[in-house]
Amino acid sequence: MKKKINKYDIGLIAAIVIISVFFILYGGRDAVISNSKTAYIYSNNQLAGEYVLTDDFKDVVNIETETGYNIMHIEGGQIWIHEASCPDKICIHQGKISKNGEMIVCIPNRMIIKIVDDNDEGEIDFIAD
Amino acid sequence: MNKTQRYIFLSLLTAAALILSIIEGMMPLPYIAPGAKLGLSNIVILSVVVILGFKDALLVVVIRSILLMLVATNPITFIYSIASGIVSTIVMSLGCKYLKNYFSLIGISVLGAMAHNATQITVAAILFTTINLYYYLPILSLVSIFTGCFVGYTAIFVTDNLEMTVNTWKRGLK
Repeated sequence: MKKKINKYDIGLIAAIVIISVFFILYGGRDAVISNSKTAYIYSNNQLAGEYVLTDDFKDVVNIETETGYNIMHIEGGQIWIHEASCPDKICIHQGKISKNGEMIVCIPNRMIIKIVDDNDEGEIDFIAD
Repeated sequence: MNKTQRYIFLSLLTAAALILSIIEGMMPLPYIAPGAKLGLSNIVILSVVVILGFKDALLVVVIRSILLMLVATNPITFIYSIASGIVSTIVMSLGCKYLKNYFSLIGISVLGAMAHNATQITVAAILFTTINLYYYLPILSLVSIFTGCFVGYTAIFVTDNLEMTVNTWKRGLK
């Protein structure tokens, strides 16, 4: 067993550094830095809309079915239902959602809004030995 | 070395690895990436790989992980700890066996640290069922170069002294 650091060690370390820096710069940029929070809107069990929620994205979406309509606003990375035809207005009272896994459900109109945030799972702080 | 001597020696080394793990848990370290840490107990494990071989090193790793779970951490950490410990031991002993003409202990320790990180991320990816955690792998690899160099450099001194002791025992018992 060699006792001192030699050229092969330095070569190995240099190779790892180059590969790592390459992947840091080009590999994970989109997924790590960009906001990949997406709101999926399902109506009648079918995907009716897909919106990437960023801070500067603003939109008003109207989902209509034969049972009624839901008008939802998207602003500042949040999504909420502004107006609905349903009698109980529970979907409006569910408020603004913005976090991974949060949902708005409108049972009379059979509509679901679900937020999926790919970054959120990576941010879970796992301690490992 | 007879059987008793070997067992006592191994248990001393296991205790050393355990204590280093506990001390490491107490040390305040800057947050770089999840799972990035010094890996002080790898000094002991690398030394055992060099001096006594793969089987004994595996024994030390497994017992250290079980004891660490009982003393300081929880079963979830134990899963990470034992999986990455076993894989990095396998990688380090393969390195000692087949690459010792090329690499010094520093290179082997860096390889072991890389294997440790990769396993840890794999376990986390399985537990969280998401592949995105692999984005941490390049960052962790960079960190593991520093810790690997540190561990390897320390292990060179440790093996120097321990080898002398073990050789004296072996000669004395003939």
